[in-house]
Amino acid sequence: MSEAELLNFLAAALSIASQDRLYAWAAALGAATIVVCVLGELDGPVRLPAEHDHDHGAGAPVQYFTPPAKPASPSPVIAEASPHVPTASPEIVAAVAPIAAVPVTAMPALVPVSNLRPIASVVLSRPVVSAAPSAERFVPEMPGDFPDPPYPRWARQQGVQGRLLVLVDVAASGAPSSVAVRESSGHPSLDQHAIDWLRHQWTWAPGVPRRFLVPLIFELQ
Amino acid sequence: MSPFHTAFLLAAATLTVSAQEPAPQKLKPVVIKGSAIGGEITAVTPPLRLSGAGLEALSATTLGDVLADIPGVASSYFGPNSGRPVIRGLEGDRLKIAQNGTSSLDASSASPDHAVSLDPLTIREVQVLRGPAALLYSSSILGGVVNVIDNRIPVERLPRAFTLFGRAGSADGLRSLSALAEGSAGDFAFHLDGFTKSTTDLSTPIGRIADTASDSQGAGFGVSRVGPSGYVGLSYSGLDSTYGVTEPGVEIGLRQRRWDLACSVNAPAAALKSVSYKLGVSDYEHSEFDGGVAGSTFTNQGWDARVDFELTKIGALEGVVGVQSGRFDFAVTGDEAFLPNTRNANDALFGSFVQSLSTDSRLRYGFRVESAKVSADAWTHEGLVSNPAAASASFTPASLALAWVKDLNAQWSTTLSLTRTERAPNFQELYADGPHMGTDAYEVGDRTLGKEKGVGLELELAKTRGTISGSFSVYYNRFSSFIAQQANGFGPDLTGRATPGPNYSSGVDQLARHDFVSVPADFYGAEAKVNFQLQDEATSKHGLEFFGDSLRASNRDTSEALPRISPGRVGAALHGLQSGWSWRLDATYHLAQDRFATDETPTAGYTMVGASFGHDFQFAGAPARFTLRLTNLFDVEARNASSFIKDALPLPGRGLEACLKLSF
Repeated sequence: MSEAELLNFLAAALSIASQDRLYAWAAALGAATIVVCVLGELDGPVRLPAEHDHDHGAGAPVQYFTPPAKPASPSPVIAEASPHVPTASPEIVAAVAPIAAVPVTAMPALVPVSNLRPIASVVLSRPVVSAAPSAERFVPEMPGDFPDPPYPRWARQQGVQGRLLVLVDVAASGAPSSVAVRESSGHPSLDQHAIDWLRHQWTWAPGVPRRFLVPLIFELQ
Repeated sequence: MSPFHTAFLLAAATLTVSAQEPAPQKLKPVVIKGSAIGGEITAVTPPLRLSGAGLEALSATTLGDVLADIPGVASSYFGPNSGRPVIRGLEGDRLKIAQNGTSSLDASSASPDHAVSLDPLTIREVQVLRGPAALLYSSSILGGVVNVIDNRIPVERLPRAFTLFGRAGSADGLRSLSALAEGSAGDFAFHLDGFTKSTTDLSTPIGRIADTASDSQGAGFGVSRVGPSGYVGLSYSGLDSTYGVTEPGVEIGLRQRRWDLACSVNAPAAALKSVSYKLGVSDYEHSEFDGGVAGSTFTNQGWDARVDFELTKIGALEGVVGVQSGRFDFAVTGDEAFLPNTRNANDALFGSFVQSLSTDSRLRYGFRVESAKVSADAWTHEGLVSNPAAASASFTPASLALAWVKDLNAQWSTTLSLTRTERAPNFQELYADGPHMGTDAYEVGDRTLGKEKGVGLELELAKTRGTISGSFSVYYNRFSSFIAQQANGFGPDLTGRATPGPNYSSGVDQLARHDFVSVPADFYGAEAKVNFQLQDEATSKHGLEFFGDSLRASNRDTSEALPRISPGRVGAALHGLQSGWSWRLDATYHLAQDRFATDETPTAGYTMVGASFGHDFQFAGAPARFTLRLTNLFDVEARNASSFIKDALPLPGRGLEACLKLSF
């Protein structure tokens, strides 16, 4: 579109706006917007999406997301120091450090701090050979390839949502040697879809055999 | 953490460490977001989508009806059996209807009495795309694009499902039964569906309307091989339908057979998230029977194919690019041969992207460049003066769309879109020359027509979260060239031709002549929808919804109204869900249309009131759902302003419809 055409177009848009009917719409729209704004304020404080979106009502297994605990000693210093955690006594320090390292601000909607509390119990026995413990905390930061599974079309159309916890054994080669459902989403087909994807699409960097618990949340907006 | 727990964990840790058995590390949750009702997740997510229970609850009989409740959408309503959606006053070839992404290859855009070859009973999902995402399917996007998904080619392993769905209605004497079976065996997934449907003459407040009954059967079968890196699938489907078009003794017999092939590969290269290929090959035919004798036959044989490359996210940019190519031969023979045989070719290159500018704003943009060619055979007009020679016309439409999305806060967002579209004139607009019963006119095309060109500006304000949600938009679509039908006296003498229909009032053997001409046109309007969620708990939900739309369309040269424009409506609905019961009460006031084109008549305003109730229960251990729906509760005589035959045919009268769905 040339400049002249664009100007012509905008001029025409303005001339339309000068007609009574559009005024009426604009007034109605403005009034409605104000009403909704006002009502929106009465609505109470803005809720974080995390609280709302992850509540799928009864039926969804939520064990590993429930405890609303506070993170223990949130000191980022420990997190940065964590590669130097003494290998002889990894338990408690390792348990605390990763929690401190949770980049809460990065993805507040998806990773409420409270959700990560159970990490303490699974992390403290991390294999000591792990070169950079804090770097292995999160999927995007681990070396490897971890594409998100697609949302199955049938599940989307039927409004099926769910969360599951998958246990992945990673062989020395970095390929998953076994993928199993630890906590089901309640829909066997959704579970199957997730474990098929992880088994075939996820690869870790070669190293020692490792085990991971992968929480997956399928949610519709 | 209690001391006991600590001790236990220490012990467990020591044990596992000493056993050299690596205990699992828990990773950050992987959140897979699907979009049930739209929202912009990727460059191709449709802003509006209907599927599952929402689609069934509508219990519509035409695609036009399926979408008619959405603000900004009307149905062209040519009797109860053919209705195409009309979005923001745009219809026909201006509003692309795609089937699984490829063209539906029917004859519905040629005439309002031709049904879309997609029965709502076979539709599993309808997507309405607007703005840059719509450029994946069409270059004419000011109204949007409707993409219908039938699930016939499975794209993943499917849970075993067997569903029976029966419906019966009083206003149109509807009886329908449809069945669906899906499942997987090893690497193969299959889909099978079929339906049979019949309706009787439509009951309206002015009595039953003759010649509106219908009888349809359809079936589809698809199978896919699904593997870790993608799928490849094939489907075959067919539709046979016979329906009346309100003209005495005239019936249309429609038959379509269609093959579809689809495949997709995940991450074939580092730069690509997926590559998918789709091909549809169709053989469509319909005959218009007058008193049991085939009068004219329309055929459309063709194919449409596309390849979509979904790009890996690079920095803040995501997108899809692709190519689409299609050919179809369209022919009319018999009394209604108002067109020469044409061969139509269309090749397109397109892209649609979304780029994050900051945490709260995004830019979406897209382009589509097409090469369109329409070649017409020489043809001889029976008893008429002109015998047009063979001709062909080529066009290169280019469309662009840009949308800027800004999140004002956690709840509000606003979108400003600027669109420029171009559309090549179709075979009918170029080459028509003859009596067309569907529009009751002698139609004359113009072989010198240029591209249809328009620009559009839209501002949308949406509140997506919270107990009050909704959206408002205002738009202005300005066509510098809009291909319209303009009345131009009467056609040539057609002594001995079929009797003209109800709109016809001058002369005995003459039809009003309509010329396809290019005029400057303005469309502007507003749409709004707001929902107050009064109660929102897991087992109990109640809400109050208000909606409305408004549209004005004029020929800018003459300031005259464009024909068949629904002026707008306002409505409210109260809906709820409680312990397995769901219900909805709605009332909509449709505005009177007093701005109308020459040859048109005004329509009065009317109020439609409806109610529906649904109940979920277990039947012999299987989930079941029963729905009861009341329409036009007060039996109001209503005329749809966007219908060609509104003067002859009011909307259906009071009706009761019951549906039962059983899933095994």
